[in-house]
Amino acid sequence: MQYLLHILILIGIYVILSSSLNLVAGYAGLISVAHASFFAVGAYAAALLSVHFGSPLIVNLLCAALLAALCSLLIGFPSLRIRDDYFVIATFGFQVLTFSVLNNWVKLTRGPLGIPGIPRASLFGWEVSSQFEFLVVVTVLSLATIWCCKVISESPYGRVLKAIREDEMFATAAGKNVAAFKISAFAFAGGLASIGGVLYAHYISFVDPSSFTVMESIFILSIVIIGGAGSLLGPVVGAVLLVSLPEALRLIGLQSAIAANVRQILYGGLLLAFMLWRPRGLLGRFSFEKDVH
Amino acid sequence: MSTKVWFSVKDVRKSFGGVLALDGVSFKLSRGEILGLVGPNGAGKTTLFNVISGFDAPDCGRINLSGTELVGLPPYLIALAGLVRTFQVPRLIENLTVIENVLLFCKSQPGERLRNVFFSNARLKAFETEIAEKAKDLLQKAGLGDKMLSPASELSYGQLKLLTIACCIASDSDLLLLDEPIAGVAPVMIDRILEMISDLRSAEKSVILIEHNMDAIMHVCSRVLFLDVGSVVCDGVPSDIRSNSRVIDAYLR
Amino acid sequence: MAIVQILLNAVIAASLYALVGAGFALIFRTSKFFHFAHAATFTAGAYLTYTFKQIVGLSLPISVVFSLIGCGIVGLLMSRLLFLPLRRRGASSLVLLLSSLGLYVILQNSISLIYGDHIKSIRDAKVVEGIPIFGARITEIQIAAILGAAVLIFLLHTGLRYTGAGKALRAVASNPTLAKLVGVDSNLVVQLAFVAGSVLAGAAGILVALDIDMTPSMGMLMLMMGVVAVIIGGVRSLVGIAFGALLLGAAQNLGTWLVSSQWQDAIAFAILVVFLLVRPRGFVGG
Ligand SMILES: Nc1ncnc2c1ncn2[C@@H]1O[C@H](COP(=O)(O)OP(=O)(O)OP(=O)(O)O)[C@@H](O)[C@H]1O
Ligand SMILES: [Mg+2]
Repeated sequence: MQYLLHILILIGIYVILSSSLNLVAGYAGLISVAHASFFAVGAYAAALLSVHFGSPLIVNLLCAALLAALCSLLIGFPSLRIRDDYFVIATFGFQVLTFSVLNNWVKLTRGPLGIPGIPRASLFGWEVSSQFEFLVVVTVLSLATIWCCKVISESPYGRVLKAIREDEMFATAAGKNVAAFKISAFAFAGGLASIGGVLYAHYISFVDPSSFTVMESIFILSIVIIGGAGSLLGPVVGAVLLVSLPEALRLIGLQSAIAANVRQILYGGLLLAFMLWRPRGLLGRFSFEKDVH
Repeated sequence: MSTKVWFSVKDVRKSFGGVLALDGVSFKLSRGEILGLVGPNGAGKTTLFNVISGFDAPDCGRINLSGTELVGLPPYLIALAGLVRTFQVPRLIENLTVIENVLLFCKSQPGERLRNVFFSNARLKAFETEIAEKAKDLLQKAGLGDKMLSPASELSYGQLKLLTIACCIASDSDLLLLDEPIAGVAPVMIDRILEMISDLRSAEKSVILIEHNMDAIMHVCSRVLFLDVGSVVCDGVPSDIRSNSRVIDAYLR
Repeated sequence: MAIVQILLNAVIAASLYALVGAGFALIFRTSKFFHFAHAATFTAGAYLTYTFKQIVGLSLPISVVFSLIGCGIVGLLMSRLLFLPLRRRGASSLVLLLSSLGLYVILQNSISLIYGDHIKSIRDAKVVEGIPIFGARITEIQIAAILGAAVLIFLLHTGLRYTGAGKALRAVASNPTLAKLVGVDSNLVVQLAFVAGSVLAGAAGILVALDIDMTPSMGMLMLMMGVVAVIIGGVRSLVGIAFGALLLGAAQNLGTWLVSSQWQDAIAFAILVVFLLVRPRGFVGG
């Protein structure tokens, strides 16, 4: 039972991460390999705030989201204002930077040692103590994230994003400031992703740099692509599949040292297979056929 | 109808590598005027549109729309300044419905701001209903009423071109640049498209129309510009064009 | 005297960045996508050398040659088995990029599975003193790194300029349609670029393996540095890439000297952002 709750909580966190990335990759058509950075910003913000100040969940969420959105402006502004093919490079650079900062800014982050002893989340005086209660919080926040994505995709704002994804020139001719739309979508997605980080930090009660590598970014991206970019439920299906499938490896008794690698080889292989045979993913409507060059 | 000069292009040049596509093009346009732009293939007509609408930067020259200098502005600002264009190969968002394509062109929509997505209010809702009504009317008039909610990918080629013009009209721009709006379209549809273009005159809109079909040009244009190897060879009423010796040369060459 | 050592360290770092960057650029020019798995090729170079030298027990020169050949084969297989079939299906550059990401994940984790995650080293236990020059010290391997990088970049440069294969490659890079018209087999050229590019990345990996240590995940950081060098120098100019690598190496090592080594990656990112802003035509535009 505990184990099942654990998996469900992880799925909830990854639904938040992948749905937010879907806003960028699926709706605006931009591939980002920096999503683990925003995950990290959220996790470390929550860790530091609650360890040092014992701040409540709401404060952690707000601070993390603001900080993550600011970071995404740092990438989005120089790359998206100019041309698309810079975006993936800028996000890649930022991902490498984040990992390096987490490892090296020892005074703040304690480097590779990580930050242990993160207190449980507290909400208006109520401490989220049991695993089940935490699952409720995660579920509420992941539903809220999905709702945000739904509202965006049905709004005039989302209509412009979809237009940009399909044909930037057409959107421009319609008088849309394409770069501004991409930058705002990216910043919003960064803010949303940090929610996943905050939850992760409170749940595991420990953060260290190794959870926020390029590999993690690729994993979140794979969830979106395999589930189906540009559809509301694609990332949800992707998260359920990619988080729970590797757990089967544990059930068949694979050593945990090997299991981590096999799990990643599995999703890397899935990503490849989908690119070869079904680039639009399970539920996707859109398969990155637009050529950026 | 005022005949005051309201849009002007002055000495615009553009070359691609060694190819001189526009070699000092100048002309003026007044409000409510429908100008035909003709010339052999490769004359530089589409390039002229790209330069005017800001998609290509000219090597030199000035372009002025009712007091605003357009050269150097990003294309989206040019569109917002009241100049809209279609593309020779029609572009549309196939995954959006017909009416969504039209709505995309409505200007200054508060709903297109991210913060309004979550903090919507009655005024915003009213605005959206209003533009949706307008878009419906427009599509009815264009004869696309029954296709309103289908994805744009389901339209025929002629309907696509009709829709691109409907999009331009929805943008409420003062100047429309239409690149071959009837090329490749079935005859029944041609009449409807030409009618929509003619109607723009009475709405005080100006149009520049690229077209190879001379009958269509004769039908809707009050004035014609003939472009050959990047320069204006002849500028006059449609009947002048047919008798101009340089035009005949250009076509016989 | 510190300044000589800093410059020396900058040149050593730069030779690695230039190798990885040049290989990346070669592949990018012909295939027009961001080849993430290039990072894994680099790592493979290091681990192949480790395998031949430490496990099989071959001599150093033989191990190096075998590893270079191995990396070339890796590049050839990547292009033949994955990227060319994808291209034939008309895959966009984003699909190719995503495939390359998937491939990277598979390769890095396979290396982890086989060799383990902990640091592996080829160096002997004894500390190499290094040869003193102008008050600085440089090891033989480091001299080999600088010379090796210089020779490989020079060979590539002349190869691209003067050989038929080089001309075909440049033709495909600048205009694939035209190249096809004049009878250039673009598939062959793509494979050639993958082989040559992978050998360059592998060479960098070998040098790192001999000079420092290796871990399965070291490739991404090196790829990032190579890409920054390419952004500075422009994808079309090998000389530019070498210059970009030197600039990056110098900035990082000066930063290490002035502030602390922990900000090396931040410096690289700052340079990246600056060049994204000042080179709006950038990457592809040259
Ligand atoms: N992006 C470009 N790069 C290089 N040359 C170009 C480019 N765009 C146009 N040209 C060249 O500029 C010239 C003018 O082309 P343009 O498309 O404006 O002609 P056009 O009058 O619209 O012809 P058509 O009637 O066939 O549409 C042609 O010689 C064309 O090859
Ligand atoms: Mg044309």
